Amino acid sequence: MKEDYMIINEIKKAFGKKEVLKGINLSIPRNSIYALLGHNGSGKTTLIRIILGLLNADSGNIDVFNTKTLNNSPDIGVVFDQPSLFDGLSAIDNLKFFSELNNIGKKERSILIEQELMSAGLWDRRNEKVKNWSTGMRQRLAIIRASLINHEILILDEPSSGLDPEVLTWLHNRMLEFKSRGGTIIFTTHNFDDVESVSDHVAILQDGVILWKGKTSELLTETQSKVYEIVIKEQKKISQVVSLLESVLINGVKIIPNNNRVEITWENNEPEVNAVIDVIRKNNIEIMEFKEKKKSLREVYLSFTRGER
Amino acid sequence: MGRYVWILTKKDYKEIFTNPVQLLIIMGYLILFNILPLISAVFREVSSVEITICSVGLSAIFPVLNVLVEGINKERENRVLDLLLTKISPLTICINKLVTSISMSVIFALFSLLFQSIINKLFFLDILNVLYYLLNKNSLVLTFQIVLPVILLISSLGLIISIFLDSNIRMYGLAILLLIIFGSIRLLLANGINILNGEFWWLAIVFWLLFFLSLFAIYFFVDKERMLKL
Repeated sequence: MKEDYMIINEIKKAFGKKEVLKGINLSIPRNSIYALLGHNGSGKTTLIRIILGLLNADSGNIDVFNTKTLNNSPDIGVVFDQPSLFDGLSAIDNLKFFSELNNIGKKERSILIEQELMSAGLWDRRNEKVKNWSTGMRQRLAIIRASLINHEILILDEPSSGLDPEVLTWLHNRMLEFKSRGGTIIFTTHNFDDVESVSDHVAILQDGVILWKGKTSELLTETQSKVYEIVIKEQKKISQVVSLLESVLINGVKIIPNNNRVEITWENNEPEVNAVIDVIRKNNIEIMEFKEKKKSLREVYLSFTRGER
Repeated sequence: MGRYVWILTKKDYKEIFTNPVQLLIIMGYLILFNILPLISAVFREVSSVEITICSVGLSAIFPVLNVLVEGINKERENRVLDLLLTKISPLTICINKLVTSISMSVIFALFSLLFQSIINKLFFLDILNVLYYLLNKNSLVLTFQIVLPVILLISSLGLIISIFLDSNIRMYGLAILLLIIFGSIRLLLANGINILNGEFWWLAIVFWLLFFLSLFAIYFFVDKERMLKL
């Protein structure tokens, strides 16, 4: 089991009467990519700001292990949803400024900046002022800036917003590369592709509460095996199938007919697959297809946020 | 902290002096407030020194508007302040802005003074040489008594205004501040209190005290949330 890098204990925050975070508890493992998934206004950015020390929590605390505290620490790289860059400076001057703040020597700085701008395909436009750049280019520069030195942790707030698929792939590779160097990443997103492609841990936030947290693989497997779909040959027999299923299946099972299909969801119990097949066959109803229905991450997420789970 | 202030100040200067539009605005501003007195030679004959000080003062205020009010606002909008505040304390950023603004004010004031002395040499030979006047009246004492504390006070109060006031009322706040400071000086002069002759130490003490008071206010009341206007 991985050692925890950061433990977030009972963090609460309100703006006026509006409670934005209602007691958040999280453990961020060292050398992991932790996704905070939630829709707008769920409290993700507020939590990130508290982690960064830009906002004070009303109560609760954050423990960071075997490192300096995050607040005022130079070991942290940050990218906000809007790339924080000095618009009036060129790409190269922006990177020079931030690398100087991070104590990178002149010689090393020049080599690093050239390498990074080359790898991101921005070298040819290094002397242009960044205010004239597209969102994708600005975001790439912001990500380079944040990961220019080997920080212990990278915090990304909605890093993929407004990025085209090519830049998104570049971002994912960059995140995985950072992790392979031993770094830890916490990022907020409402892009399911981000979560599936790079994260190994995920927490689903809604209205300041964590609805689910754990390994990304568990989020998918825990919710996958309990939904089955039966397709029968004759649509007119669908109501008979529903009655038969209702008679043999115990409580806590949801049966939803749709044309010649029936979706069966076992909410708390183990699926009684054999019982379903037997009862339909005994009544001479031909089954065309019987399959486990895989839910996408989007569906899993929505089932949490709509209170279906 | 000193190292961070130095890096941030270098960046501020680079941002201003690599922007052609910004440079044009600066040049236009300096030319306007230094040539304006030339338009009315009659007006100028009333008191060359007062008009010169007015021009120099107005030139020196530009950085307060540009660096403190506009600069902080722009950094907030671009979310650069958020980023900087994850590494640097709010006090470091406040000191950086003050250093940039004050150093630029001094450069502009010197430029304006030089400009005024050239104008005096060229157009008003018979009236008075401003540089000679200032040197004769002990310009060092005058600088520490009036010029420096006024620039420092305007800068620190300008910083407080840009941090604490909303953007829609910030300019009114600054206008009121300038009216109070320059109005007070004008009132003193109108009542025969010649603040330029170096005899009114109490005035210098008031200005310096107010400046230190505003610094304490920045030190004690400005935190990250306030800086970011959250």
